[in-house]
Amino acid sequence: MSAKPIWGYDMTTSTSILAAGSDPASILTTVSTGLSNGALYALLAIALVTVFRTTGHLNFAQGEFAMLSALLSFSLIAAGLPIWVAIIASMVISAVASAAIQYFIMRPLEKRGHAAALIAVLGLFLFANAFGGVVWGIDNKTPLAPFPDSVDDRITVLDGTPPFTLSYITIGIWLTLAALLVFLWLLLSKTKLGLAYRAVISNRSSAALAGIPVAATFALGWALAAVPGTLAGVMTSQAASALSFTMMANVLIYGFTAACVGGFDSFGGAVVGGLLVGLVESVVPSIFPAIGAQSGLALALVMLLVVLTVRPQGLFGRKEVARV
Amino acid sequence: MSSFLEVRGLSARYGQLPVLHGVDLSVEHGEIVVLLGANGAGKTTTLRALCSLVSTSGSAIFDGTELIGKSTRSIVRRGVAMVPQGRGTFKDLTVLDNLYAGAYLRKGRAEISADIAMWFERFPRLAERREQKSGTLSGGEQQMLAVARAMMSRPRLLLLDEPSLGLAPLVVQELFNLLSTINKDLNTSMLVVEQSAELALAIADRGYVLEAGHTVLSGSATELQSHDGVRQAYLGL
Repeated sequence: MSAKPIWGYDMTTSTSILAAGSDPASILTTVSTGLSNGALYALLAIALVTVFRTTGHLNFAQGEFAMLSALLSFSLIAAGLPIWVAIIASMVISAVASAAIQYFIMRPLEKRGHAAALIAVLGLFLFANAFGGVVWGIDNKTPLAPFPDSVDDRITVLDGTPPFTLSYITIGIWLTLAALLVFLWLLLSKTKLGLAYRAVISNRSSAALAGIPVAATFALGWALAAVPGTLAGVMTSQAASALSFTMMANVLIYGFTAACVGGFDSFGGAVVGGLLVGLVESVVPSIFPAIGAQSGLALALVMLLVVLTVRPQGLFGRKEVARV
Repeated sequence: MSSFLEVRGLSARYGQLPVLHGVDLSVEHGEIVVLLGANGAGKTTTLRALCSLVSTSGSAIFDGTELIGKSTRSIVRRGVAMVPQGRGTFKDLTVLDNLYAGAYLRKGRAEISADIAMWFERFPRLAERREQKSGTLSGGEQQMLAVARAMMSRPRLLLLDEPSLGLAPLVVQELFNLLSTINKDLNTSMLVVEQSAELALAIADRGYVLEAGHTVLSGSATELQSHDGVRQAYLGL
């Protein structure tokens, strides 16, 4: 192809991974990096979808909740708890706090209409962000390390020069996502709690008529979102080597894009959407070096724009159907 | 001796808008009572008020306990179930899960399974579609499911809001036959709001006519069938 400059960039200065002579390892590394970041976006997207399916709110504060969970884990570890105990404890505390926020703040406000709920969510975003900064300080803390992270903590998948390796961090994130999906599936399809949750989502007045406690189930939905949310916060901290009150700002945009791409209807959609956003962010700049590796956020916003224009309900979403 | 359900001076409002201004009615044990009235007369609101789905005042004594002021949940627990207008099935849930959701307040897996088997026997078409999402069922099948789901809480009083709405005449006939059978077999009392007055009065013991939020007429099904006003207004004769 001709190498004429686009937007002032000279395509010849860096090479595409598809150019002749590229090694398979770098292609695979690009893909696995994308899927690793994508799994983090998927975790946050699952949290957003959980809340949206339950009460119909887009909880823009979800990323900040995840950040607070990560910082709380940090403090619990500093207090002497083993890391996974600290993570589970933050998850529980975050779940209780989320349920309380839904019950005491969102529930009374949503009776005043969509605008009130939306403003409340934005307020929560600002509050959670400031709360993180005030309580834990604005400096970057030592990132969390739930998975072994020394240079040698990786498995070699493909020998060669360079070899294709997967870090324990990447594998850990994938396994966590898989475990979360199994957990959610078991909870929602095999337990009475899950039946109540699905019934309330499907038809809240009929759920009330069956004696299902609707208000408590709404709070449960918010609480449930704290599980993927906390995992997203903790693992983003390790993957991005960051732990501060600003760490989740961009991840929220990726996670939101992921949920829009997959559709707000299903966890499966959130996962596919997350992985897709991660892949695009990693692969597209590698194929077209002119785009630049730092353009991830712009690419995500382009995806968001395309999906909202072409298929507003997302890849796996159903069109909104009026209920009788 | 007071009735199984004794409603006195029932009033209800949606926000600032009063809809019921003192409805009086009663349902005896094992009776089918039909509630007639023009659109906007307050029939649906009466049923919703009995389930605490609207803000309500007045009195509704069911089997010795006051329902007004109780939560929907505790009303269901006391043995009242409602089939809302438009079926109210859980469209995204399978037929089987719909029935399990109907039994939400009950304990005892074995008994619940036995009840589901019993309803599948009564409605074989639901049994065939047990793993299908209920949104894929036909209108008639959905209405049968709605009835079976409400019955899964083992109610002693079943409230039905326009069960015939949107169904073909033959299906309506089948549905009313089923309601009559359930009433006889399980001794379930029923309070039915209906536009198809003729069919409803055919299976009912007694009936009431509501107008602008008041009870204006009551009588046995036979009396109402021969009442001039009722014949003109609701039977199209």
